Amino acid sequence: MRFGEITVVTPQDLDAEKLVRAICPEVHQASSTLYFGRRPITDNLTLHIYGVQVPSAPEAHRWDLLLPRALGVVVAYRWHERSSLEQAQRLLDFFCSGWHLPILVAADTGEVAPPVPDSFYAEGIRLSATTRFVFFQLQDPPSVRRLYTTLLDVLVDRVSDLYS
Amino acid sequence: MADMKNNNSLPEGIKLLTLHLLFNGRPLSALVDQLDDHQVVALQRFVWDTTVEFGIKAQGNAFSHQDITRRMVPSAVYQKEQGCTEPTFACKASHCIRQHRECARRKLKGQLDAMATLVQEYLKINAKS
Repeated sequence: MRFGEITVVTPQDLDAEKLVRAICPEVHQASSTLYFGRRPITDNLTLHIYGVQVPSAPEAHRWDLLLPRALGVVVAYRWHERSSLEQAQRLLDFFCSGWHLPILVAADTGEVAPPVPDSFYAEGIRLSATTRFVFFQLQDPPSVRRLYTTLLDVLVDRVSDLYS
Repeated sequence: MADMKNNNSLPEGIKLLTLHLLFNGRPLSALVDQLDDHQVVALQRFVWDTTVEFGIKAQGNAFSHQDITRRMVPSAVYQKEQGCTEPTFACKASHCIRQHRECARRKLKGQLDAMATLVQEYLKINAKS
């Protein structure tokens, strides 16, 4: 059996469990801030999704246990909340400085439509070679599922860049 | 003096904040005062790249880099306004920001706000002051 691992990180005000549950039929709560879900892809391949709600400084968490085998990280936050943005900035700077992983920054617009047309962000707005930005709506499972496929696109682009 | 062109010196968190300002119809010039010289130059590069990306998405093949530059004050005009006697080729942020810091930052603020306005036009967002 082979595993692919993806870590989803959220500030305290965004439910990490919902992000995991959107693609995993079965979700376990490992601690008050850590969720774990499995998504079988084939008989021999399973995605493991870790959802981490970060209530404090990112440095306080044991990322060395979660990230070394991760395919990438989704940093999700609430678009309309200033404090959520500020925490997402801290998380993003932390992951970009210490871990060389594909990162998808995902802004939950809630029930309000994203402020820009879908065509501008559907593939992810490029922040760097390995970091993209998208909007999503937490209440809309298909838009949450697209976060995972977009992250995998970033990963494929990164691998393509390495071999081109 | 070496140019400062390292796009990687701008923290990703600042790039995220830049998108928030753009998508909320805000100008970008206020960001400049919070950044060091390397970051200011990297911010200009990031906003340029983003403007090009959105220009292509909005205009397709009709997009041209001149759509951006024609919104900016030409260097020769800017130098004349500032009473600058340096050669015109020297009037670019990556070259001049260490020698004439305030002047270069002032020019960059104008360029950033011009690009922000253009991006907001592409996105059909109402600009706010």
